[in-house]
Amino acid sequence: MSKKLPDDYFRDLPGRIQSRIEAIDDNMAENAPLLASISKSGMYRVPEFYFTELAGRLSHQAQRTRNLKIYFRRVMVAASVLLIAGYFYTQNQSYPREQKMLAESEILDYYINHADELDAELLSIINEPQAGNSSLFENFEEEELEDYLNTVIDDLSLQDILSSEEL
Amino acid sequence: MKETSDEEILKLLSDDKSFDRGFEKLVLNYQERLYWHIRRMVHFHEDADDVIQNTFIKVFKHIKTFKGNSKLYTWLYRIASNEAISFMNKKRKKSAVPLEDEIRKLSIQLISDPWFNADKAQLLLVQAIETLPERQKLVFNLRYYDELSYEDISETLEVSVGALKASFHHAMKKLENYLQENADYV
Repeated sequence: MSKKLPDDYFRDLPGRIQSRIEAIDDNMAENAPLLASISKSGMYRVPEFYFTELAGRLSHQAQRTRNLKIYFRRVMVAASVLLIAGYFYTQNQSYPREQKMLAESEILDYYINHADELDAELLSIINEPQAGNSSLFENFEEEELEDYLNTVIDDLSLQDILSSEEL
Repeated sequence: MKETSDEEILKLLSDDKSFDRGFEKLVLNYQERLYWHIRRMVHFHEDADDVIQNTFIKVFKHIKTFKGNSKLYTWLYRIASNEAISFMNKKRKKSAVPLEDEIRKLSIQLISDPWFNADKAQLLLVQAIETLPERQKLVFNLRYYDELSYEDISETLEVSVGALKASFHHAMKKLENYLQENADYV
């Protein structure tokens, strides 16, 4: 036996569901008397002056986050410059393959022999103080650096790095 | 102290010179509200302290992407809620025990927590809320404790007002049933 539905049943259904939802109110005392009888406040406590101290800590952390961003941008810019320079140097050599390989090994030798100077140069770029930003040199915790790498660094595109104000 | 308006905060944040002052005002305006919202999700002060810091660092990193398509505080609540949920998920993954055991363990820890001050009925309600699915718990907390309007919750969670009302209603019924079934423990 086939069951019959009223005409326009499905046309009216969304409207009827909507009006039932609209009719739902959150009158606690009526709908959930036990729940309504339980006090909402006083369940949790915080240490004295917590919020005063929290505001200070948050400002400090925001400053450190900004410094970390600058620090990593500089490292990335310096690394990118070295990579690009190395790439163009090797590509622009019109030597035969053996000689080109020699040219690459020369770069490597040069780096090995001048590693200290190059590292010092790189560090000086990274550590160059910024006006009004003396706290940039504070020691970042390893965990902090890792956390930064795992989060913010993902957000930085090459475009961001190349258009960085620090360049 | 007079609270700074959201418009004023956003204006300060839009200029690099006044950015730090704007961020400070934003923290002062919202830290308590967001802290309590997070605290009700994670329960322990130390955890809430971690999550509130992560929340504001995220806000700091992304505030320049805030386009003003929603209210500032619903945007902040969204970030805080996401941070609290992902914190809880990580914690749960580590423990990997059935829900009932988890709730029992939570109750024991809360009773011995010096920053937890609930009476027996409030503790039972905490246990009841823990039985709700994550999303329903969030809707319930935002409506019942934070007293956000359905419109604002809708903006925060990007869910229709109708669906939120239904979700809140179901949560309320489930909690009431749980309280009735376990009233002997109070």
